[in-house]
This record gives sequence, C-alpha cells and structure tokens, in this order.
Amino acid sequence: MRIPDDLEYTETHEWLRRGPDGVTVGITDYAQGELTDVVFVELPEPGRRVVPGDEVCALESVKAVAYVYAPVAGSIAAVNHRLSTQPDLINKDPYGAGWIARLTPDEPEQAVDLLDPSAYRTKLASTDKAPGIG
Amino acid sequence: MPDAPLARRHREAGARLVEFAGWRLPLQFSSIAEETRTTRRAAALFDISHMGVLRIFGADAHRAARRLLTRDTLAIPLNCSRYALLCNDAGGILDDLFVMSESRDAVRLIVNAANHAKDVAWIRSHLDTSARVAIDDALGRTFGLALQGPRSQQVLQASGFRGRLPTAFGAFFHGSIAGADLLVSRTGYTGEDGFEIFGSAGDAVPVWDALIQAGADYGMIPAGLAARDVLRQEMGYPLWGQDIDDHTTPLEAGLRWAVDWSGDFIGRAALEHSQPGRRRVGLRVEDRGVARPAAPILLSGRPIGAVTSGTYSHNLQAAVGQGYVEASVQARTGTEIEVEVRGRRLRARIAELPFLPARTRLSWTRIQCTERENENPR
Repeated sequence: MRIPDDLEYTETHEWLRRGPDGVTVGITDYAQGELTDVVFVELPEPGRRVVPGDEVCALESVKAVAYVYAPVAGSIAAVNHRLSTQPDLINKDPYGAGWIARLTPDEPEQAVDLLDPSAYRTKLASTDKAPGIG
Repeated sequence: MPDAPLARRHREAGARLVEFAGWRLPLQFSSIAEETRTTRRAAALFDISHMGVLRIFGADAHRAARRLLTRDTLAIPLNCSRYALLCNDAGGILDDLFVMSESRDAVRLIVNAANHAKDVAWIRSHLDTSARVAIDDALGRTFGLALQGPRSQQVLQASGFRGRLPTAFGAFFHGSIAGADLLVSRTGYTGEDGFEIFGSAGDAVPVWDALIQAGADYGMIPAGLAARDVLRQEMGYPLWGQDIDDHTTPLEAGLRWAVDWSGDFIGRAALEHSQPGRRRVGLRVEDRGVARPAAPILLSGRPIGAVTSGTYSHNLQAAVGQGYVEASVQARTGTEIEVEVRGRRLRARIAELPFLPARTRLSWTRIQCTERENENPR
C-alpha cells in the first residue's frame, strides 16, 4: 500500500497536495482498496464554497458509497472531469490521474488536523480491519 | 478467527482478505471488474471453503431429509444435486442450500457459512430420535473451490483431474486432482458452466495450485467474494441474509420452483395457507447511481417496497439489484419506478431476472441431471 512522503493526510483517508494553484485532494490507496472498484463519481460544482468536514463529493463503488470531505475552507477551483467517464482512475492511480478536486483555500495555511505520512501509516496499522461484505 | 485453508496462498497472491461468517476470506485479487468479466469470458477460481458441508446418513436419511427440506431427496437421482430450502414452521427460509443425493442412505448439504451453526442445531433438534439417522458436520475439515466460466471443463481436465467428469448441471462424482480425493460437482452460483470441488482441508493447497497452474493457459484468474456477489446478482440469485431470511417465504421470494410438494416437510402447512403480500423483483437503475439494500422503491411517488441487494455490474454496464414490492402493485417488467438513494430519487425499471441468460450446462431451474445410479463409483 502506497503512502507517498510528499503528501498530507486526513483521518478520513483523503490526501492533500499543496501547490501554487491550490490544494489538490484525492483519496488514499488504502481508501480506494477498501472501497473496491469505483463506478460513479458525483463531482462537485466548481465555485462551490466548503468548510472543513463538508462533503465534497460522493464515490459509488461496487460495494459501497463513500464521501470525500473538505480538508480546508475555501472554494472548489477545479474538478477532475476524467472521472466522469473513467471512475476507475481512482483505483488505478489514486495519487495521480485519480485526483478528485482542487480547492482554493481561504487561508493557505489553515486546515483541519492533518497527518504527516508517518502518522497516517501509524493510523492504518491500528485500523487493520476491513468492512464486512454482503 | 480461523484462516481458511488457503489463506496463506491468498496473501501471497496479494488478495485483500475480509472477515466473513467467522472466516478470513479473499474479497478481491485484482479488481471486481476484471474478476467478473473474466469469469464470463474465460474462467475464475473462487475459494468457497467457508461453505458448510453437512452429511445426513443412516437408513432413514432420505426420510429425514424430506421432512427438513423443500425437496424429496428420493426423487433426486443418485449423484445429482438440487437447490433446496430449509424452512421453519412458518415457512420462512432458514437457509438455501444444495442437497446432494449421495447414496440410498446418505445426503450431503452444502450450506451458507453464515447459517452453518444454526442449520446444524435446527437439524439435530428436528431429527426423530427413534430414527436411524445421524448428522456429521465437517466444519474445519474441508475446503471448497468453485471453478466457474466457459473454460472450466478445459481447466479441470488440464489440472490432472482423474475420475468421471460430471456432464449435466447438478451431477457430481468422486475424482482426484494432485492425488487428493475430491467430490466434483457440476454446480455453482454464477450462472456460468463450472464445477464446485470439495475435499479435505489438508489437500487444499496442492489442488488450488494445480488448478491455478492449469488455468493460466486458459486465461483463468483467482477471484474473490466481491466478484462472486456481483455475479450472483447478475443472475438474480438470492443471497441469504439480504434477499431471503427467516421471515421470507419461498413464495414471496419467487422460489416456488425449489419446492417439491409431493411429501410433508416442515413449513409446508404454513406455505399452503399463505398469501404472499410481497414479491421479489429485479430492477435496473437508469440514472447514475447504485441502489443499495434498504433503499425505498417508489411507484408514482408512493413507496411500494425496498431494495435488498444492489450493485454495479461491469458485465451489464449498469447498476442492477433486486428487492421486494407489494404483491398487489401492478409492477411488471419495464415498469418505471424510482429508488431513493441518499435523498435522491433515481429512475429505474422493474427488470426480468436473470439479467443475463444462464450458461450452465442446463438451465439452473430446470435441472435434468440423470446420471445413473449404477454408475455410482462408490
């Protein structure tokens, strides 16, 4: 399971990449594995304002539905339209082509409590339990 | 948490394991899309070691089975199996299973892992103490594999299988792979041609390895429980605990064909007098979204039932499901309905089950297994 060293993570299994054009958000390799094959992505409207904890979008997989939560306050600057026709990019390349949305944060440094890669690794080690199946 | 006999092999293969009914089992090896597509195009190998194997034996075994099951096992030719139901006094489905007519004094039941302990307790408490019959529960002593898909027979034959090949759906014989004694049955729960293979737990690894090795030449891959769940939904087959349970009757579930009324059985009287208030239907979602269990089904805005199973099928390229609607409602194949998912109403239609034609050697519901008794190798 990949946990890149140059990203930040949330308790709810999103990753963040801070760059000059905003904060890019996706879900982690662990999250996509738990979710199984993603089949529909309800992308958010660009321009929508979010605060930490807001649902940015819903991901429907074969087995379940999951929500992506906003890690910062700001507005949706861009969404990954490729996910409309290729939702499995989230499974195949969760940290790259499977990115979900880019946010323009109100304050560049503000965020909910984020985890660094080692803290996220520790969190996963203590939650090594997959959901039940039907 | 007992590991299934093949858990180490699955870990080595990089499978994601989950806990299910007290077993740690492979959920997924590659992706559900690849596993479900490959099952229908080539073949896939599933570990079904969690399935319970119960043997009812003794001079009164068939009489006891008739009393317990919705089938007359004496009417099933030897070396043939049938889908059957274990009902309670109210006609509710305690479990759905395959019953194998093994000999004049033995039948074998392949039961759901989730119901294994309950079934054993129910059967023990309903065996006539004066009858010459006993039950053997092989819990922990067996392994089971399902080899499913159009190339299954080629894979089985290439694996070094020795013995008589069952040719009709439901037929079974003893045979061997890699020197291990096996029960090989032409059955499955995917709608494809294929085999279910049962043996002693200690032989699981060499048999698995032989099939995986042989299957490589035929495009076969290992597949997990998640794919198995999608495949059975594509066929509209019910899953106990979701689509049928203690409070569902065979009549409501559309499983009347699995009831043989020729003798008395537990639940019969209740079923004879019951007026099903609801019925099981298939549904296909037309909007983007997936119908999940418990989602309300609406007709012209009025709730008429609920979804019990739903998923997305890569083979059908559609979200499909099944559920129950009020029996009095005029909801036929093609009727427009809505399914409420997270406050949104998705457009859907009542669909005929199965969503895909069965490709078993003979239709799943009209089994014509006629293997001859005198050819029984035992």
